Amino acid sequence: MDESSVELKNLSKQFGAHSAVRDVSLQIKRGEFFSLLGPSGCGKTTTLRLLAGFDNPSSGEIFINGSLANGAPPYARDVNLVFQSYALFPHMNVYQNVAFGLEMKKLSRSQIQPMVEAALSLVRLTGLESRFPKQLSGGQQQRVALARALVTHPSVLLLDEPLGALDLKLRKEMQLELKKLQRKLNITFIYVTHDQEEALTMSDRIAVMHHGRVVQVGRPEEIYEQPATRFVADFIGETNFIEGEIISCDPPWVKVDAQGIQMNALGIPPYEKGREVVIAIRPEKIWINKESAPPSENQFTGLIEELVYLGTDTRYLVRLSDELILTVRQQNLDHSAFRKGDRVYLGWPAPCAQVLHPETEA
Amino acid sequence: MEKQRERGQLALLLLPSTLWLGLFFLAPLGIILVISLVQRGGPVAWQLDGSTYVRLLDPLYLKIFLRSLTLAVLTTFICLLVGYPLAYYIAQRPPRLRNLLHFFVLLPLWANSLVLTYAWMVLLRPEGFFDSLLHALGFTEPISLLYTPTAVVIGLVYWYLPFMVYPIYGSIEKFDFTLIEAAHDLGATRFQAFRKVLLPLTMPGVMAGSLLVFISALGTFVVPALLGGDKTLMWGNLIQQRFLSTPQDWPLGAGLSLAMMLFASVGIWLYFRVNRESA
Repeated sequence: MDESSVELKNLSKQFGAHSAVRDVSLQIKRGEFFSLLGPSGCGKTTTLRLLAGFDNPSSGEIFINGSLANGAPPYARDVNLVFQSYALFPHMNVYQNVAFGLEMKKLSRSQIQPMVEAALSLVRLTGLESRFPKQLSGGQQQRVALARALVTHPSVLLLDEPLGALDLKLRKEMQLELKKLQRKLNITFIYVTHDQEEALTMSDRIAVMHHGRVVQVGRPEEIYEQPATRFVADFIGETNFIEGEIISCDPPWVKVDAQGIQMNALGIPPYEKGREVVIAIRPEKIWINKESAPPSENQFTGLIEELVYLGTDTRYLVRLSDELILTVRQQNLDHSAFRKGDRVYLGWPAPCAQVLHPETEA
Repeated sequence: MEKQRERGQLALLLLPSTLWLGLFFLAPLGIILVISLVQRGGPVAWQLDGSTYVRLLDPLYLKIFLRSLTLAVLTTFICLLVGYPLAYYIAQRPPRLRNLLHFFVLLPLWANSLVLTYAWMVLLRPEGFFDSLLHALGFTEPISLLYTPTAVVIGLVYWYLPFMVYPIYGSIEKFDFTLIEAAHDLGATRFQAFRKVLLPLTMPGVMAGSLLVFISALGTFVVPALLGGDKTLMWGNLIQQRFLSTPQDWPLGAGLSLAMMLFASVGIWLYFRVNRESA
């Protein structure tokens, strides 16, 4: 049995001279929560529109449930989209909005009613049937859009930054709710967002896009812990980048000289000696300590130049040498432990420092 | 003190519009009302008389009224059929081309309307452009469109099309086309998306345009006078003739004017009622 719900093969989309999507290939499994993550203009929304059928690809193929969908109009695809602006019909009330897709399927009134009611109770909007969109809050409108897209039981639900217009607290609530909903219905969700935290929170897998290409596909922890390129490391979370030259290698380990400071890092695939590389290390992987240091391969001393209190944790800028300043984040178990100007020991386990693949394209 | 000064300023600001409406709308209306209530004479005898309103019920006038109504409805309908797609087309063009198209739609309004109507006479008369065209296409019957109701409708559509296009254009331009995508996404074909989403949401423009064209067409007299001849008299010609041609009958002309105003007012009132309910 074919496991994939949606498959993209070498998909490209040109708008005049501009390539919005370049050679994207993805396999999305049935029932997967899959996110397309990237900055604005990276091609994620265009990819979604190609899937929904609003635009036709310049080249490449789209398979939905195993059959070729190229050229099929949006109304003939078993795929529904939740729009960023919700796109609720302003002249219809909540009930009519949700019933729209079912009416288009020529179902009878008696068939439609229980389905609309079920969809509304799924998104917890029962009782608001006769309200019009403009009488609803942003969060409620969002739920109507969701109910309207889910009521026809599409095999794939596309979501275009659906939480973008909500305030932070509501957004966090909706993230969990969406995830729960997706588990419950077991529908494939393809979720477009530029919010890395959102993608990490909800997704089974994430495709990070940049300049129309997919630069990395993986589970959230893979994307975060083993970013494939400098762009991914930089876009998702906070990262220290250390430039240096490889002075020795012992696969998968390499020793790098960064302006006189030597450190060990993970280098997959093996790199040859003498090569200029960039090492990425997450701020929270670095420990700092005032007195002695636990034994580690990467152990240095530095000066706290700046500290920023962030509530749950504190961000320190620690100077190791004239050229090298690292950002360190530490949980505030004891927030008064360090002061500006303190001399500290710092270090990190070698597997947390990673040599990045050279960027394939800027 | 402050309040009084404010009131004074307000009165001053309202003065121009009050004067305008009073002098050019209410006063003429009053004069017409008075004329309709006196006897005819040279041209009026100042003797109170309500018989004008009895004479209005003449079946001949009813026939002309029904003809005006039919031609106005037909004109409105054709303007709608031509104007909606045109407005949609213009609204979908890139901004630069849009300006050019606006220019073409408005062009007839800039030229002298009388001259344009004479141009239509040349086009429509026997052995005119259309007649020759039909001959060239193999029709042997001589076809004279001039001085027929068809010619009047052609002329009226030509005159009033911009009044249909612009209100509709306004509502299509404001329309959020994501809604059409949403409709397609939910399974609506192009026609269903039009009927269920675009048309209801651009209805205010359709209503406004239809009302403008309908009321203007109902009261028109230049086009039927020139293109319709004696056989296609419309309500407007009737009024004009009572005032300007012999036998003059000012009270009847005034009564005919008021009857049409009443009819149009009911139409406008209905329009606002329907609009308010749908809002």
